[in-house]
Amino acid sequence: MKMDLLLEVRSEPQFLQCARATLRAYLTQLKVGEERVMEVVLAVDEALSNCMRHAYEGDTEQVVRVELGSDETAIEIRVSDRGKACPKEKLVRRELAPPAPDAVTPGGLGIQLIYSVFDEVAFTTEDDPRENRVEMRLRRGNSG
Amino acid sequence: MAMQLDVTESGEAIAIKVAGEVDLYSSPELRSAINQAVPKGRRVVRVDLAGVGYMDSSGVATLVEGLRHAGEKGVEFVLMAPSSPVMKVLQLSRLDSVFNIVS
Repeated sequence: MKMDLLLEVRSEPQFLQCARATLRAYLTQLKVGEERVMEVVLAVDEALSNCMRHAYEGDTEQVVRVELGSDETAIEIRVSDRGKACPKEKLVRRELAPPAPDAVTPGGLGIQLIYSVFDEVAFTTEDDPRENRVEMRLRRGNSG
Repeated sequence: MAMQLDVTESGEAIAIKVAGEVDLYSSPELRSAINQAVPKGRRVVRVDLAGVGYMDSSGVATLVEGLRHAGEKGVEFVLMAPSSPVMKVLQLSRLDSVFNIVS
C-alpha cells in the first residue's frame, strides 16, 4: 500500500487537536462517510494519546509518527513511537459489555476503542525493541 | 476548538457547560471543575455536553470519575444533551447506559 501522508507529532497533548484535524481532512478527501470519520479519528487519537501518556510517560519532547496510506481496497494507518513498550496483556482485545463505573480505566478503554473501530488491528509488542507500532486497517467497503 | 467551561450555580444545582474538544490535553481541566462542583453540597451536578465537538476516552473516564464521586457524596450526576461525538464514544465504550442522560 502506498503512503499518502506522514505526520510527526511532538508528544505534547495540545497538538492532538491538530493531528485530528489533519486526519479528518485526509479521510474526508478519501470520501469516508461522516460517521466513520468520527470513529476513525477517535481511534487514531487514542493510539496517539497512548504513545504520549504511556510510551513516553508524559515526556513532551519525543515524537509520535503517523503514516496514512490507502489503495482501492483499504485505508491503513500506522502509529509508532520509540518509548516504553506496552505489556502484551494490555493489548488484548476484550469484549466491551456495559460495566460498572468502577471497572473503567482510561488506558484500557482506548485500546478497546481501537479494536472496535477498525477491521484489522496489529500491535507490535516488547519483542520488537526498535519501536512500538500499531497498524490499523479499514476496508473501503466499511468506510462509507 | 479548544475546550471552554462555564460553571453556574442556582438553587440545588451546579451546571457545568462544556464546549469544544475534550481530550488528553483538556480533560484535566474538566476533571478539576467536576471535582470542585461535586462536594459543594448541591443536590445535582449537570454537565451540559451539547457543545462538545469531540471527546476521547480520557473525557469518558473523567465523566465516569465524576459519576462515581457524585455517587459517594449522594449527589445526582446528569449528562445534559450530549452531542453526537459524545454519544458515539459513550456507545462505543458501552457506557451510555451507565449515565443518567437527559436529551
